Amino acid sequence: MSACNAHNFYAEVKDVCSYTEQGQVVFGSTPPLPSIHADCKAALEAILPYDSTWSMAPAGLKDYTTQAFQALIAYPLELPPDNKLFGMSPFSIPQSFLDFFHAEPNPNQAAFNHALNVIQTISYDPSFNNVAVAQWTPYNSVAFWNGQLSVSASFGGYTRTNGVYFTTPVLNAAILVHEAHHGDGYFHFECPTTHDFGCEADLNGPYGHEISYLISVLHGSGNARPNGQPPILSDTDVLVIGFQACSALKRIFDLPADLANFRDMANCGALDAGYFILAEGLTR
Amino acid sequence: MRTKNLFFAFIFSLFALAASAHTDDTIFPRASLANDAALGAEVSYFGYCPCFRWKIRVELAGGEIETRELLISSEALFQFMQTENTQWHAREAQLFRIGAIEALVKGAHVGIGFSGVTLGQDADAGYTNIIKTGVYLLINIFRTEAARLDLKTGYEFDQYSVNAAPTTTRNITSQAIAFRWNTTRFFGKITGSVFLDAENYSRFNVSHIGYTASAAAGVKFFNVRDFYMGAELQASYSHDPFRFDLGLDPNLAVAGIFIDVGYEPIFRKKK
Repeated sequence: MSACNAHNFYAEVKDVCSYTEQGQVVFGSTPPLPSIHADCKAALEAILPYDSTWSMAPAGLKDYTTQAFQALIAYPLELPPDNKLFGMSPFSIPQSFLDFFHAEPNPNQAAFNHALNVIQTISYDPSFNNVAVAQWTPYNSVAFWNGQLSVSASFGGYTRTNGVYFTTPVLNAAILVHEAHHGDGYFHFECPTTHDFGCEADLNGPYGHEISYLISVLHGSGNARPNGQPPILSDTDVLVIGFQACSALKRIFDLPADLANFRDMANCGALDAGYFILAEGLTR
Repeated sequence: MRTKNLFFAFIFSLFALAASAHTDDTIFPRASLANDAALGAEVSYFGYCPCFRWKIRVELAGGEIETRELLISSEALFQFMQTENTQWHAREAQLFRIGAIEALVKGAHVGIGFSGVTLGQDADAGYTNIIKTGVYLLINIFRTEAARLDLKTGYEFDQYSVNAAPTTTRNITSQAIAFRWNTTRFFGKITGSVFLDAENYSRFNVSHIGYTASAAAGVKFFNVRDFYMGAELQASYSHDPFRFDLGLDPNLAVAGIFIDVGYEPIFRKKK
């Protein structure tokens, strides 16, 4: 794959941003504060193209957003055996994701640089706070030169259900991968039953790349490490990563037979961390 | 093994036909050469877009050699195509095609063709390590200086990796129709085909049939001493059931607009 005129943003920040933290379950009525390290935050804010709208953003949202970019840098990625998703359908990870994954010397560099090379502005947009988490829009609707990433207040809350927060920054990193793939010119189309514009025909689209990224995080960061240290990802991380990937799969129509069956039969909320650990063949 | 022998026999007969032309006294009553380069923008639907792409296309050593009995022609003996995403950050497809040629027995209105060897990759379609080749019989319905209409029945061998999987091999038979025109001002092509994978012969079902359609129309703005510059619109659509089994959208649609530059000299034997 050629890469003309693509800047290596990763090299400017990797030394101070290559740390990871295990996700936790936090109970409460307000989301926990982001935990981005001060030196990484300073390095990222120097290169992330935040605009003036952030003066209106809720407290902590900008740090959540910065932390999502840090997660792109830090959480190791590895393709699953035979490029399976959810432990099934060999070679279902699309060629477009494989090209993106291998575009630079390491996949974290590829993911981070790709995001910043298609995002020219990061904005806070309260108009879709209860509608969408984030959105990428082109400045030029014909050639899609340059684009704007708009972030809503929902982006910063971590995953929450009924007063329970799951602090897994890589979930927001997966959203960045999704939105950055819109910057390649890939968009959703109308779902046949709900008629919202949140579906895709196959795994080549933003949801497909989001799923492929999440599964790659499971394999790159979810196995026990050679030095005897526990996996980078906690069971909580595995649970919410699996849930998000499973939910995204529900929005894709054309799938290999096994994945299509899983899409139709799985109750994503009923699957625990043990299911995904077993399905992906992780060594904990 | 028998298929391979048949293939090489066909290639040998093609060269034999060409060699017989060299012994003809009127070896060059007429010949033409076609070289063309194009740069343009495409929008494509592969189930997940529209995807916008820049496209570069180069076609060299096309043209015709016509004797009293034979017409040997090629769109281009060498073809190159590459698409890039809109920010020129990633190559999406790169294909080389070498050796596409056909020979028509004018009096009988029948001929044979070789679709060349295509090598390359197409990330948008999900294919890498592409190797394609094929042969066909053609029936020429009519032919003038400016246009021709042909029916073709052929065999195609495809091999590629889909999503980096081990290579897949396909043996495909197809029926096609092609109408082409090329005047001093206008050029273009309309094609259509239906095809079927050999593995589906024994379990035939209408849903296994694939089909394609394409149209291209261009105009030459400047035409000076065999050099020209023009513009061209292209559109194509294909439905390939093979892709559905792999979880890929079987419908591919592409449309584009291009700026063309070309060199098309005509050679005639001097009396």
